[in-house]
Amino acid sequence: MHSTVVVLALKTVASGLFVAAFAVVASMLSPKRLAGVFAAAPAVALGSLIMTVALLGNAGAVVAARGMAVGGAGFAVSCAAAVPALRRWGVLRGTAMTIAVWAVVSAVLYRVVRP
Amino acid sequence: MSARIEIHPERVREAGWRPLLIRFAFGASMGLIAGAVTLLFGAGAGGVFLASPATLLASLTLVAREEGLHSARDECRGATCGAVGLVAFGLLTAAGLGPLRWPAPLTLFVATVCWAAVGGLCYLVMRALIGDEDET
Repeated sequence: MHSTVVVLALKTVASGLFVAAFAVVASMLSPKRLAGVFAAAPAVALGSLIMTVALLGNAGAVVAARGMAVGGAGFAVSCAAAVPALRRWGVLRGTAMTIAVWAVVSAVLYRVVRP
Repeated sequence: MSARIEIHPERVREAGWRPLLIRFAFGASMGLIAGAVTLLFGAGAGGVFLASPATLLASLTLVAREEGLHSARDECRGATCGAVGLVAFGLLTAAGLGPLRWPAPLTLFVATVCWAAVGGLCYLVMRALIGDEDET
């Protein structure tokens, strides 16, 4: 139990640090569309996978990476849907719709692919 | 019309600590959620949350407030390219750590480069097809 909490805490901090680091890079870039590429960086994945491999070994990281590919496909579809959604509904409802699209697409793909 | 690609290091200092802390908090939250899902439902399900759009959406709300909705939409278009790169990252990481048996640091480094290459290529194709500036 103690080690599980430690692993979870380390993954949490590492993910936050990588997201902040990629955000620094994104903030320096123009045009905004190029900076947006870094907004979809594998930051959380890097933080989590590094801790997983270092503390628990490769096996779990392999399965997690396959799941991440599924989530990434859902992410791409949701981003494409977000552009018209933001235009039509504004930021709050547009982002809520984006999360919903990601969840539905990822869930369907997860059932099909079964990583 | 395509805008010039530029790097502005001074923007980091101008933005201050608050946006970075907000993004750290969102990133840490997603890491915690992904870890919790892994514990409850397995590594595959937890892995899906490693590619959640939550941190992007946090960024979009900040960008929309400070720079306007058109900038947020532009960031979304770019994130679509980055997300395509995420799929490549995931697949390469799974292959490298799995059947290819590469060392973990090499695998993650190559996968990150692959994400950048795929995302960058997608961005350049988008730039060639529809230009670089959002219609306001």
